[in-house]
Amino acid sequence: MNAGMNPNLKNVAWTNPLTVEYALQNRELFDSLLFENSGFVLDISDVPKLDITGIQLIIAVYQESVRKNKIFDITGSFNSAISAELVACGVTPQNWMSWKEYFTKLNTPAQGKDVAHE
Amino acid sequence: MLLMNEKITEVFFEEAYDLLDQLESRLLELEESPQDEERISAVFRIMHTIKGSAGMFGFDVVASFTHEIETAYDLVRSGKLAVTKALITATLESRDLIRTMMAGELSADDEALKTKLITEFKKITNKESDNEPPPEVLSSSVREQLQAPSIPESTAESETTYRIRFKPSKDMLFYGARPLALLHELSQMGIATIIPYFDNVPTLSEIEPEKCYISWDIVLTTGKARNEIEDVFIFLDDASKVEIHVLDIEKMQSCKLGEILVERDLISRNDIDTFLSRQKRLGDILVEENIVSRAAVDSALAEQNHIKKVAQNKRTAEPENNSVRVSSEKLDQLIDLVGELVTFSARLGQLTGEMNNPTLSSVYEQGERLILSLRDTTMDMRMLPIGTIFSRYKRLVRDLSADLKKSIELEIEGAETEMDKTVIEKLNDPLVHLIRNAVDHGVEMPDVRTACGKNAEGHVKLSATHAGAFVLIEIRDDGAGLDAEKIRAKGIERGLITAQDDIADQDLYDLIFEPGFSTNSKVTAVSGRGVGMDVVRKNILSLGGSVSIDTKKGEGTAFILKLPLTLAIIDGMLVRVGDATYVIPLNSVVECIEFDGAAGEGDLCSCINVRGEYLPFINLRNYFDISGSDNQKQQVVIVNDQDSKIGLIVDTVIGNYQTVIKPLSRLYKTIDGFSGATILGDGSVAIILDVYKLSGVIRKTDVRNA
Repeated sequence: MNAGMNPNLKNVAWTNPLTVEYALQNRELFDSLLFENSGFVLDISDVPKLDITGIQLIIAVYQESVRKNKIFDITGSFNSAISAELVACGVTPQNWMSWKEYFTKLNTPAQGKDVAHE
Repeated sequence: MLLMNEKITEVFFEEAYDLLDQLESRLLELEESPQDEERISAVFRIMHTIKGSAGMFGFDVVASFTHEIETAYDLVRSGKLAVTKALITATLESRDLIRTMMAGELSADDEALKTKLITEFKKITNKESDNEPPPEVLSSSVREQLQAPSIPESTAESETTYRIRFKPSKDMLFYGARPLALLHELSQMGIATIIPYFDNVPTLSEIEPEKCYISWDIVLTTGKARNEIEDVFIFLDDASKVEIHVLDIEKMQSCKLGEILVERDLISRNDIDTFLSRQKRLGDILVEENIVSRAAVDSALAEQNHIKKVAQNKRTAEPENNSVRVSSEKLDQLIDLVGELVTFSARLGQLTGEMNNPTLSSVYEQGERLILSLRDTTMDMRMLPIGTIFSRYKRLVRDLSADLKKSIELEIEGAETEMDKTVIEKLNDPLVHLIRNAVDHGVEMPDVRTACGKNAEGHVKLSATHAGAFVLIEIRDDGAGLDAEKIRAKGIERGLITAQDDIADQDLYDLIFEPGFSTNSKVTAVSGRGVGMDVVRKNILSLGGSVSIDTKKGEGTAFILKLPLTLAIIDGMLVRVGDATYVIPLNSVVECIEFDGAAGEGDLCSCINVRGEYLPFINLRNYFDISGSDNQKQQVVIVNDQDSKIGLIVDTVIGNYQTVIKPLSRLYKTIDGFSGATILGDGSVAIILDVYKLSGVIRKTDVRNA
């Protein structure tokens, strides 16, 4: 992240297992984050498991951000906890960067941390 | 039809035996590098092919037995089972048993071994499945494979590449199906590239978390059959769609993006052409922007075309299938026919010479050239790399050293050295004897070695090198070396020598080739009965070769076998002594000079001064007791015998002769100096001289250089 580019952007840490159980709540949260702010950064470093529901939600958030002309970015490394799911879905360390670019229109700095769901 | 079936079964047997031979080598290599994924895959593929072919040809017992081993190596391949010495030993034993199964009925002992091995493999695989990690955790090797979904440089012949289009129904998650688990299972079947499609993911407000919107294309290269891939999707709901297409890799490796899209029915060829016509070429853009000149672009394009053309020609020149399997019987028939043709050519040459007709001579010369070329090509077809038998000895050394509680490494050098097929076949028994001796007698026990300041692990080196028309094969160990005193004592005890005999060490070593000679007080299952070394020498001599020993006490022993490249046809030099004609192998001939007649008439051997070098010689007229005396100047043919040169005195040197070697009858076996016979153009027989044995005659008569 390039520090200082957009200090108002929220950095949201994703810590719950994004399964159907939580997805509806997270969908509402992400929707409101996009509505209320100029955008947000989703930190997936600590997400215990990222399954198809989660991946679909990320895609939808990205598409929504484009429609609303908001900023959406993902931060967090390609960690081992989520790698198996991402790899099975076709995301690899080799194309992970282009995935990030795909989701990101503008690199934005992290400013504080909210928690997506507790 | 019956004949056809027999032929097909014959092919199956040939291939299966080949695969079993390969399996042994691969297993021994795998034992050395248990992490090597390529070797693990090779072993798995061999087991898989044997299982598949055996099932197809009705060898169900072989197929079901092989299945157990294949299962174990499948686990090894997926990183769930480690390669251990026990696994390799069990697989080697299984490999031997499969060979026995294919040869016919199993004995009671074989049946017991089969049951033991099946239990062993089941234990190995069951133990593993108990420890199997939960499905969401990927093993490191699988993850590595998934994380780098690149197409391998070359895929095995038995592998197929599929394009699998997987469109799950939206309700798939609702039914409890896990698409990621299916993708994971496919990834484990081979090398997979997974391409997700997100086009159908709706907007954030419309997305329903329990629905699946993603679909996938999976390009999978695998040895598994199509039905095994279909089985992965067997529990899918009816609304989900799976399409499986086989991809023609050869055809597609040069496919452009547009061609792939057309092949997938996503766009028509016309549309591609239309859009391509709108596209500006790079050269045009660069010229328009005044970055390079038109001439520079044209030159670069010309170079590109040239490279394409050369590459294309190179591809065309590469034969698609560069070998065919021919039975050795047919090859032997061909050699016999070529031998007859060579004899015929010699007869024709003789007649042509007598007729003195220039036109006939010219035609004969042309025919002779063709026949010689055919002879060389045919002889070349019989040449095999000696590594074909060398690789067997790795197993021999491995098993023997384990039995004897020794640790021995076998090093192989020059496995690519080529020799005539017949020589190689007859070489196996002598080599087995020599290697067994090196392992048992040569290399000491680890504690003895350590006490001598040597490495506890013994070393046996098997090497082959070309030396003119011969191949030198050396079996060298770093063991105790031969004990000359022990050999002397044993020789006296057996009455081969007396205590008064003053014999050089090198001659003492020759005693070990006497029948029943052994200095080993302990007879083991491996060696020590004194049977073997005499057989070794007999076999090597029957091949027209020789055995020598190089040994140093405490440092090791080397047995050096000198063998002719071929036993069928050689280039010879025809000479005459009295009325008899002889052939001297041309590869031994150094030069021919006139003899000044210094030797006395009755002399067998003496010396000759050749430009200041004194060489021993044999007068063949005296040696073969040919009556009459020469009334002309004799000639000396100087020949090479291993490290030294000797002269052979003959009446006349006739010239070069293509010699088809025919074996001598038993009557001549005891006569030193003959290695075979050949039929001349006029139908008469000429004896082929054995240069090595003739030089032995000189050694025996103790001729000293002046």
